[in-house]
Amino acid sequence: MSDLLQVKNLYTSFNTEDGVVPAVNGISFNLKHGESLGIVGESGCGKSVACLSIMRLIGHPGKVEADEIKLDGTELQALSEKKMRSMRGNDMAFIFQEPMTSLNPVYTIGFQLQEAIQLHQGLNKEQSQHKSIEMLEMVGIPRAEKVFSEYPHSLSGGMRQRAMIAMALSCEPKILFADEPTTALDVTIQAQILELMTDLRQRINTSIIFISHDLGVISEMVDRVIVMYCGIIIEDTDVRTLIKNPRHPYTIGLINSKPRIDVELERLEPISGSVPNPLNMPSGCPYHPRCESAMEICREKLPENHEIKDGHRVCCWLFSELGGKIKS
Amino acid sequence: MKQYILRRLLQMIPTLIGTTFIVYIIINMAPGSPLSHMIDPTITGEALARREEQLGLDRPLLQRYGTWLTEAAQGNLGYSTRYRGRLVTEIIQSRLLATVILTFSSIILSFILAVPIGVISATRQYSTLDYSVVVTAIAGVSVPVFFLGIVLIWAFAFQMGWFPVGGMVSAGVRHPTILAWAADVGKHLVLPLLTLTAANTARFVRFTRSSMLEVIRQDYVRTARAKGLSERVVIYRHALRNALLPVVTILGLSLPFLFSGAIITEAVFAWPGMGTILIESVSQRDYGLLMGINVFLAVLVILGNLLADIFYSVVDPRIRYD
Repeated sequence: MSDLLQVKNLYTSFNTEDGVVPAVNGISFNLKHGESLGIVGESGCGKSVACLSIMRLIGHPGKVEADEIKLDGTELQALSEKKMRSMRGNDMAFIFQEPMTSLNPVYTIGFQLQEAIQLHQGLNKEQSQHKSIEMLEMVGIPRAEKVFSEYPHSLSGGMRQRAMIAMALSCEPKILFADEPTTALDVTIQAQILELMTDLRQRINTSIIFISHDLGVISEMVDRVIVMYCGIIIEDTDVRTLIKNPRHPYTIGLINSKPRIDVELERLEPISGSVPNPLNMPSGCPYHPRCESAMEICREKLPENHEIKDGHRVCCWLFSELGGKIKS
Repeated sequence: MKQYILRRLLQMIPTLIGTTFIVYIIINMAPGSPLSHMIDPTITGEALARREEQLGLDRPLLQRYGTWLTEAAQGNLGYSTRYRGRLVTEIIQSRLLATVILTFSSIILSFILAVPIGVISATRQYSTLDYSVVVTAIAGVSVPVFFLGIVLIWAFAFQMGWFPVGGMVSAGVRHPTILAWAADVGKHLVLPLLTLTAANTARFVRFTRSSMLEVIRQDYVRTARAKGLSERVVIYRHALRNALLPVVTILGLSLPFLFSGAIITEAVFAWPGMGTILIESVSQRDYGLLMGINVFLAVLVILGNLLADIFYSVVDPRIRYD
């Protein structure tokens, strides 16, 4: 499998009144054709911002810099705004977290679906209407023809998210960013939506980047997982390894703080402390103040990536020769 | 919908009775009477009393209000004392056109100006352009209408001589065609229109800007961008329609204020509208005329509200009345 998306040293920062807030701090990752990649991390770790940056949807006062953002070999940063627009919604699509507010309340579902189809596929009104209804049926909306002419407020959250998915997939994007698409929904609906997405992914053969803070959802949805903390990638591995054999102390903490159905536990083990203030990042590794295995060097220098196994990257001093030496 | 409008129109009746009652009581509690402004000061108290009795001004307040209400309900708003017995409806009618011309052209003009300015200002928040718009708008809201009016008269009528100082048509000129009349009115309209529009535009710009600022941060605007729509479509199709919802409401609700706001402008420019007769009717204790204008303004307030509600349901699919 070749690489569909290549991101190298992506930095996104926001210039606020209180100072520059670095949201994404030099992340690099690849996504293969047809692969589904999960990005996990606490709120504010930069997972959504990273994806919005790739689609160039970061507005003022945000600033995006990267050595490389390549989609199918095309350097996205070099594209004009017009060319970028023709790819947005067409080659790259986004499903947002909040279905209740992500649809425009004053336009019908059909109108909002048709907009993208007409724009990118050059279909006329009738054809795009046909296609929209087809899409609505595909995402499992009953009475699709009726829903086509309805306004968002008359649909439930789950139905709206289905409509959003229909909208995102209507132009058969190469890559789909799903930003916590089920967080705002209740558990049954959540399961339905996840099932739908897995099913559609196989049918349309789209690569997915699935953002979530729910490890359970991630483990069902994706092949590979990136764990982010304070704007950096701290671990990157396949989903099985992540659950069974996580190596970064933060990932271990995350897995331990998740309740498991097969183990009887008196209490969960949360990670102590809290996420540092982005305006006042700790020196060295951003996780060191909360890390149980923190060493002298963690306070001083940001660790490098260490490929501890084929396809398993960890950004931690514990795995470097230097760190290993200090520890022993 | 029809039922809703009908219900709202029926609700007008108690509202009208309430407002007219309050105004009637207040104006009658004010010292003086219509007669004190019409008579020779040397006339005897006895003759005055006789005249009051003839006109029914000596009867109890509630009884007089009752009479007025019964007559008004049948469409008879009575006579004006200030205009020596002319019908109140006739006077209002003769003044209405001038006020409507001034008010409506100002509303339309300020709306046309304010919406694009507000949108551009909001989409470039904190730019130099935005700051100048905000400062100008605050100035526009703060400068009193009479002051701006006088400044404009001084500059463009007195110094430059481009426009007439006041009035609606040139005195003593006969207009052969309606076009000639319109041209003359247009020339007289410029300065009062500018004065009134400055204040209205400033208000609308502020509403549009703040409403727009709120809307462009909404999730659905981001969705529209993620679809690959051009910035213009995102702003003018997806954001503006939502941003205009509250602006339209405010416009409907402020219709009567816009009308009465024209009063001062009319006074400054001697524009022969409702404003002038309203002030006269109060100062001359012209009960009949005052009550007539009061009814007119009250109806306008209620209709303005209703219009805003109806229009709201037209532009916002979430609002439905049944």
